[in-house]
Order: sequence, then C-alpha cells, then structure tokens
Amino acid sequence: MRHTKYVFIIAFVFLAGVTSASEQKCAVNLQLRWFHQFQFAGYYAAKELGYYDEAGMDVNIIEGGLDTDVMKEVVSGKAEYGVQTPSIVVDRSEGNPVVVLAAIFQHSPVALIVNSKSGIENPSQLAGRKIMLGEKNVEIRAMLISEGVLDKIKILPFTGKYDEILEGSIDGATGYVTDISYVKDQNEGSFSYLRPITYGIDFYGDCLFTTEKEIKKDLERVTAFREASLKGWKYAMANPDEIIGLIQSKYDSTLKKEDLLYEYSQMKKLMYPDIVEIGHMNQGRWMHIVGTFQNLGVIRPDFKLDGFLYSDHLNNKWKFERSALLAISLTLLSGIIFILINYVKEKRKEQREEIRHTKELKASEAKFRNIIEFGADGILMGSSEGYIIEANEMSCEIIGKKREDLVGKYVSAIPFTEESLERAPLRFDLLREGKTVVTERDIKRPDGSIVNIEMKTKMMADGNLQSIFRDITEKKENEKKLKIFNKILEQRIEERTKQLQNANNDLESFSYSVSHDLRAPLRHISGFSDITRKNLSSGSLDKASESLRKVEEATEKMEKLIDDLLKLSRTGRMELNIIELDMNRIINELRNEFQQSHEYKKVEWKIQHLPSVPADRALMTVVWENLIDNALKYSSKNDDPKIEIGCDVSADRYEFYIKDNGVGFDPEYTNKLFGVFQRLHLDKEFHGTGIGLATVKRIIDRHGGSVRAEAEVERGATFYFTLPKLQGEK
Amino acid sequence: MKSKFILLVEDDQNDVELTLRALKHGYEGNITVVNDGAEGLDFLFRKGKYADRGPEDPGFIILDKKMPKMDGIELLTAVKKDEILKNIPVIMFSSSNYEKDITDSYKAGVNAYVVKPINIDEYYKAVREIGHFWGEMNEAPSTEHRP
Repeated sequence: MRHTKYVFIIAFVFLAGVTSASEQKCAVNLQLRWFHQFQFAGYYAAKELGYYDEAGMDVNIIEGGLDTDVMKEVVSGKAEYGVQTPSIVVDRSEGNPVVVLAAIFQHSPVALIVNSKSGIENPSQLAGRKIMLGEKNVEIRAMLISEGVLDKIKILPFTGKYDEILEGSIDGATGYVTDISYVKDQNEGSFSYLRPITYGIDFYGDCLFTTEKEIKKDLERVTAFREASLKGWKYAMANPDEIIGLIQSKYDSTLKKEDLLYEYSQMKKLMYPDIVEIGHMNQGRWMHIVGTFQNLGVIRPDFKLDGFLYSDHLNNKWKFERSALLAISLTLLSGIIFILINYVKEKRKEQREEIRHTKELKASEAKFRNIIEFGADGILMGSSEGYIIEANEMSCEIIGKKREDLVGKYVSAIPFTEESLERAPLRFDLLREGKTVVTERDIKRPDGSIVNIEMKTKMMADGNLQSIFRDITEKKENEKKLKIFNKILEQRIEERTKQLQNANNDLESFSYSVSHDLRAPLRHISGFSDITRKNLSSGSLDKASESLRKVEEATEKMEKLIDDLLKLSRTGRMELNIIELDMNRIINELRNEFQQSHEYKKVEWKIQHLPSVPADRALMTVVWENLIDNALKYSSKNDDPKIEIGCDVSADRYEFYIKDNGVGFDPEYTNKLFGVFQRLHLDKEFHGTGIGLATVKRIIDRHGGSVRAEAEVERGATFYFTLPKLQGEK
Repeated sequence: MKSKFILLVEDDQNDVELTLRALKHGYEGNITVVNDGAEGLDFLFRKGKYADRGPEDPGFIILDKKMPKMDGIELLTAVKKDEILKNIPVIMFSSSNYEKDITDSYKAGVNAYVVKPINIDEYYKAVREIGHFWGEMNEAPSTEHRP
C-alpha cells in the first residue's frame, strides 16, 4: 500500500511539473523564409539572450529554403509567426487574414542580378532575354511591369544557380543585395543589380507577421513576441560579431564570417538602425505599397488596408476588449477631473494676470508666427533627439504630408530618398560649430512624385535644429534640360561641321576635276574634230571615221565623269536611312543586272549566304555595284573569270569581301586605290574615271566601317569592307 | 645636240597622239613614249625591261602630271634627286591649272610648267614651243662632263 502511495505522489509531482512548465513556456514556431544567415539575426539573438524566455515563450526558429511557402505554413497554423516580404499584403488582399507586426528592413534588398558584362543597365534591355524569377517575387514583377517589359521576357523557375548568369545560359535572377553567397569565388564586380527602388518601387524588406486568429487568441502574447523579437534585433545590430558566432555555431551555417559580416553591413544600409526604430512601420508607406500593387493590377482596386497593420488591433483592444477596465477608469477619471477643475480654477486666476502681462508679447509672437506659417519657404524645427517639433504650412505642402503626420514624429517621417541621404548627409560636426549647413536632397512624396529641395540647417542655442528649405525641382529640371540641350547643340554643331568639311572636300574634288579631268576629253574633242576635218579635206575617209570615233569616245567619257562625280557628291550628302538590310537580295539583283550583259555571261559566280546588316539600302547598292563592276572589269581579260563574294563575322563587325581572278594590281600602290581620280591602270587597258572606289570608301566611312584591298599583279584582287555591329547585336 | 631624243611620259593615248602630231612639225629628234610614271622611272634608271637600253639619256622630258601608279611629281622628284639625271630639263605638261599642282611641281624642281590648252591650235602651239625652246635653244649640259 505504501508503495502505491509513493507512486501516486511521484506521478502527481511529475504531472504537476509538466503542467506548470507548459503554463510558463508556451511553444511557438517562427518560420523563416530562407536559410539561416544574418538576415534573421534578431530572432537568434532574442532566443539566445532569453528575451523570448522572459516573455514566457519557447520559440522554435524553423529554417526556410528554396521551396518554403511561409504564407502556407503560417495560415495553416503550423507556425504562428513568419518572416516574409511585403508580398504578404497581396496575400491579405486575396483573403488570407494575416497581420504585419513589424518591418525589419526599411527598404527592400530584393534586386535582379545580372552579369555586369552583359551591358544590361536597365529593365527595358531585358526584352527578349531569359531570367529566373520566383513565383512570389512581386517587387521584381512590379518593376518589370512598370517598365513595360514583363511580357517580353522569358521567365524561368527560380533554381538559385547563379553560375548560369556568368555562363550566359540565363541573363538574370532575383536575389538579395545583402547576400554574398552567389558572389563567392567570383571576381568582385561580376554581377550588377537592377533595384526596384531605382524605378519607383520602394517597398519594405523582410516583415514579421502573424494571423488575425493568433491576435484574437492572445494579443498579449503577440505583443510580447513582437517586442522580444525587436529587442533581439536591436541587440543583433549592435553586436554583429557575437550573433555571427552564434549563427555559425548553433545554426550550422556554412557561410564564412566575412560573408555574414558583408550581409550585416549591407543590411545596415537598409535598416538605418541608428536613425529609425527597428520594426518601424508607417501606414502611409503601406498605402503606397498597396497603391503600387493596385496600379500594376496585382491587388484589386477596392482593397482596404484595415486590420492588416498590427497597430489597428491595438486600438481595438482598448476600445472593446477592456470595457470593464474602461468602467473603472471612468470612475477614477471623474474623480481626477473634479480635482483638476478646482486646480484649474485656482490656476486661472494667476493666469489672467499673466496673460495681461504677456498680451503684447503674444501679439508680437503671433505676427512672427504668421510670417513663419505663411512663408514662401518650408520651415522645420527638430529636437536634438531627432523629433520634428514644428512644421509650417509650406513644409507640409512641399513634403506632401499633413502636419499631424510630421509634427511629433521621428525625422524619418520626411521621406528623403535613400540616395540623396547618402549623397548629402547632415554635417553635424559643422552644425555644432554653429555653421549653417546647406544640403540638396530629394523627397519622395507619398503620391510617388519626387521633389528636389535645397535645405539650410542651423543648430539653435538649445540644441534644436532649424531647417529652411525650398522646392528647387523646377530649377533642377531646367538645369538638366539646359545640359541636355547644350549637349544636343554640341552634337549638332559637330555633325554640321563634319558635313561642311565633307562638302568642302567635295567642292575641292569638283574644282580639281573641272580643272583637270574634265578638260582632257574636251581637248580630245577639239583635237580629233580638227584631225577629222583635215582627213576629210585630204579625202581619207577611213581616217576621218577613226578620228570621229575618238570624238564620240571623249564625249562618252565626259558624260561618265559627270555622272560619277554627281554620285560621289550625293553619297556624301544623302541622309543615312539605316535598316536591317538583306545583303543577299542586293547581290542577287545586281548579279541579274550584270548577267544581262553578254560579255559577263561566262563569269562563274560563287556567292556565300550573307548576313543581314544594319545599313542604308541605296548606298550599299552603290557600294556593291562599284565593287562588282570593278571585279568584272578587271577579270574580263581572263578566259575563265571567277567572282567570289562572302562575309566573315567577328565579335564586333562584319567583313564582306569580293574576290576576282583578274589582272590584280601592284600592291605597292594600294594606298592610292581609294583616292578620287586615282587610277592604277591606263585608260587604254581598262576604262574608268577613278571615282568608283572613292565613292565606296566614302559610303563605308559614313557607316562607321573601313575598306582595304589585297592583290598581286596578274593574280586577282580582293576588296574588303567592314560594317560595325550595333550595340547589343548578337 | 640634235641627236638627243625626247622622253614623253604620258598615260593618255589621245594626248600622246596629239603631242606627237604637234612635234612632227617642229622637232626633228626622236621621241620615246612611256605610258606612266613607273615606266618612266624604269626607263630613266635602266630598270626592268629598260635595263639594257643604250647609254644615251633624253635631251629633255615632257611629263604628264596625273598618271596611274606613279604620278608626274613623284617621278620628277626622283629625277631631281639623282646626281646625274637632275640636269635633264623636265617640262610638266598637264591639264591642271590648279594652283597647288603648279607650286608643288616648281617645289619639286620642274624646269617649266605648261598647262595643256583645250583649243587644239593652242595645244599644237604650246607643244611646238616646248620642243623649240628646250630642244634647240637651250642645250642641256653634256653627260660627257659628268663630275
């Protein structure tokens, strides 16, 4: 019997122990969205330092991974809390009753990672390319939609294999700017980022959230969990080395210390732990995020934010759940009011006296207040702790916020852009010396518009700061316009000068030709007409006929010269109309034309398939016409003429060539080949004006390419010309 | 020195014909025609197919300015740089009345620059005057007195 009694007692004690333990420590699951790393440092700290313990919780931190669906885990109740991006507001709009507790990152670390050698500098350049994009990654989608390229990109499921970007099998993938793991073992600068914030999508980063069910069940527990977590975050950001050691030892992270430190340093830039209270959220900012989603059609237009923010539920608690407490409070309050009224009556007497004395002073103060209140500049007063004490009407107008959203708030309520804060930080060292500090910054208003401001700040005797600022957006805009305008003007002048120079050169060529090349046929006409006359008078008709033929030839030559000169001058002046040009078509058309002529019937053509290139159709036709004409002409004395046309493509250019098996030329004189009126053959051997190749050179010059030729005497010639590839052409 | 011959360097066959016609009436010496500057150079310096030509050098040279491969000024420069050949008078006979062509020729040491007239009578006259002046009135130093 004694035995049984003991057993009973032991069992009772054991059971009681278990019950009391479960009452003190309730088990809670926190689902992370990624592998253990510094991204979740605050929660590890809160657990390790016993903050959760103190709050009566035994928190189990569950590691995430590639396939983790945090939303599902939390909504299904498997985990009470989760860490996720602001995409949770989209989930809420779709009927998932989730509540955001805190925004850990004030700005999003999400970016699209691209190979820095790819030349991709903005989202629009992604058109026609392949990227890896997680299904839940709404911010990158928002950026791509807002830049109008989403439907032009091939989206592949996210695999986390960033190597493929460097190998070139994909062009980009989503990632965190804080994460170094994919940069590992790569040269610094292998990757570059496209950040949604650059394109007006400025979201919070990681958020801590729970469900409405959890809040209804135990709001106190939620509050305690939130506070313990944020306390943990505060500690983690102040003691990164300690938490990094913890992540490595207790959470089996394979990341190196320097990787985690890098992550910490990047996170600091997104959290501002020294300025903004960790976890801080602003309803306006969430409305902006929702607005962005609504604009992109991700969230339905009538969605309301009510109940999504943790603070919404705090109000409810005081209004409804504590009605009993309210009753007690009311009783107490009426007592206090009674005492107060008496006190006020006494006080009023004194004040009436005081008021009389200060009336004048107040009138004067009111006058100044008016000046400040309705001044043309924004005027802000800030406390030394960083809170806004005063904001005049113009401040509110410039910043785009109501006075109650500024006064009493922390200075981060002024939505300076991250970039301008970094570019123009407030120089406290100068302020402390009593100097006026002038900074130019940008404000991103709640409606999304950006205002450039010039701000003069001075520290008052009591340590408070006074800033006077004005909207200089228009001025900046004008400066920018002026700069662009100047640049365009310079470019135009340069272009015109070049055109003028070419025109001058044309004129020079013309005057030279008039003084030289056009005179020769005239002289021959005169000379052989005279000879004809003499032949006729002496009765030698055959000789007269021969001389007349020379007169005819001279006129033909003259006509050809005039034609060619006009063509040359036109090629210099004609506006380039660059299109995707099919070279095969041009060659075929020209070949058909040349083949009409009987003398070229026996030519053997060997034509490769040619690429399409960006060029002017009319001018490129002139180029090929001249080159083919040359090749045919100089191989016409060969019994077995052959013409070969082809193209070599390299990384940055196309090199076309035309090869013949004609008489060729002495390579010693190659330098004269492309000059106006320069010829390497006697007219009696091959007719020509010496303008054709000069025309070819000018056209290719205008396309940004170059010309060259290779030949040997009696062993044929090859003419080459290059055309540059346009940027981004593959 | 009537035995001395003229070297005519001219690529244009029509001009060769007209020049020869003109000279027939005023000049009795022989005329050798070469078709461009490069051939002229071979002739004067006894190279290529002219390696074995006789010892005599032309009494004067009528040189066209614009020719394929090597033009008149290049040939002129080569001649005037040569210690022996530089004494042979060179007359540039060109279609061009372009200022630069004329000054370039004189800078290179031409003895006279004559623009080819368009009118055929004037052309004949110009050629005959060249032949008369340089062939008969103005004798070049004899090659026998070479230094």
